[in-house]
Amino acid sequence: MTYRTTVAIMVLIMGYAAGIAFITNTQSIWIFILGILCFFMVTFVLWLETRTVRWHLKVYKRKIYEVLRNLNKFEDPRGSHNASKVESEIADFYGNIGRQIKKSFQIEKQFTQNASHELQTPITVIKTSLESLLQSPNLQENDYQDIETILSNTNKLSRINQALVLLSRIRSYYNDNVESVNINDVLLNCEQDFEERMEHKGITLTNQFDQELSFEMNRTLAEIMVSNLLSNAIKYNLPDGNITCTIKENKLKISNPGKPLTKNPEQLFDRFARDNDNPESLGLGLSIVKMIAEYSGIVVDYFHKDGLHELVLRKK
Amino acid sequence: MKFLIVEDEPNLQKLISYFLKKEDHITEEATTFKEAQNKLSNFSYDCILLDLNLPDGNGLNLLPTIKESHKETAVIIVSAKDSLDDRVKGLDLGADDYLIKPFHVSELNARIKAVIRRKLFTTEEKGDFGDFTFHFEGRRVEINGKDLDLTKKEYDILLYLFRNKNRVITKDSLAEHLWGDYMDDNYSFDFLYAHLKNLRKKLAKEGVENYLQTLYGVGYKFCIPTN
Repeated sequence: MTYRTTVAIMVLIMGYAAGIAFITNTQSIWIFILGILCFFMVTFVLWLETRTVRWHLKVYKRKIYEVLRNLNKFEDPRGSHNASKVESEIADFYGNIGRQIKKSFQIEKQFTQNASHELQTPITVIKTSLESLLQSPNLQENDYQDIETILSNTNKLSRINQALVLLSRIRSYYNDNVESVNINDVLLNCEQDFEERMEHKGITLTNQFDQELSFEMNRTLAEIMVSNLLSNAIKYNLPDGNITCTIKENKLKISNPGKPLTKNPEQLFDRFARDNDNPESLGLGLSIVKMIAEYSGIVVDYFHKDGLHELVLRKK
Repeated sequence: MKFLIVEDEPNLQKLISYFLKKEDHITEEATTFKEAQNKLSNFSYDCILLDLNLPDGNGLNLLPTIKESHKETAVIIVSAKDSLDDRVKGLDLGADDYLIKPFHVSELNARIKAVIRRKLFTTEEKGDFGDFTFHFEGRRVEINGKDLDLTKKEYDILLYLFRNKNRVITKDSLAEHLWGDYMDDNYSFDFLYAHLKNLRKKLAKEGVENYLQTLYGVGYKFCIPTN
């Protein structure tokens, strides 16, 4: 039932009441009672209406989440079943949103892919030419300094590009080869890779594993995620600091002492949101972590307490 | 040595072939899948540098042919990081090494030398350079017959310098060679400097520190000192 039908019924009842009052010349008390009745009826009908709309909204909200989770397989909700007018209006509305999201997603994906792929070759050409230029015997000291400036910036460009390629790949890969990945093992392997770096910075590492933790996800992405977290714990540690990796209550927690953030912790996972103290950082490491986690059904939380940075991974 | 460079980007192809020619190699080029296929059916090469993204096909499909009719040929895949699996696939299909774009020439050089050594000159067990003698199998270095006590990383640095002797190598390329590209900040240089400082001390002890030149913050050069 629509709003218009309700109003029509209300007018009808009011008319009916007025008619009765006119014909029978009854006391106005009856008109008043009929008016009250009419009011309750309208309220009831409107309440019913809101409920149905709410229910439809819920259904389509779920559909939109589905769309967001799996953008490649978006299906138009229209025509999926015999829809009433309200339903088809809602379906139209959400269908449009869905189509628009899908379109922008595809444009963004294509752009990232093209841009990163097309950039790789010119970057390689610049690097190769510079290295070849460096072999020239006639270079002066200031020439070397200029070349160094170009080189280090080209390298930065290349690293940003590689990180963006990775970000665009996550969406294509999170669904491939999903297996039960033992996070304890991934972490231990990662720690081995970083052993030398930690030693160099005088960082001591403590593992507290109370259980085996596994996530259902792509193994390569799991390795990238854990390695980025550990690398950050080393990077933003204090000299001669420590790292504690805890696995308990189905959570992985990596904590390390460090200076409090200069920016809002909510922006921590944003792309290019680096801390002012570290201009060399690209600010992409944690957004890669966040994205892998989101696509793999994992929640990442950040806490700062008692001078400790804590990053926690848990199943959604 | 005869090289086939399969690469569709003309600038990069020219640069690689320029670099290889300077190292006294012979190079031929193919810019498309078809051209590469034709060249492979008519000629033989010692080493192929293979780009995977060719305008008319995937370079991976050339690997079975190469492995069938050119068993002795070394193949190094040089490609953009397009897929997490391509590396595994390429090595499974018989490629000898895999280099991701963008790469450093010094890295390409070191890989070529390592691959060639593995493939063709398996009898080459040591390399001499001035006062230095490298024993590749035992991963150790002698100076005038005296063993140099090196850590694993120090040996890796010296070997990389040796493979690129008489050339300037950048500190980025050295850092990337040692730790891969996940070392994503200036921090990796601190780390590199620490290793180089120790290495230099050890070389100074033997009186050969002037083999290792530092070039104004850009990089290093391993060469026989002139004076």
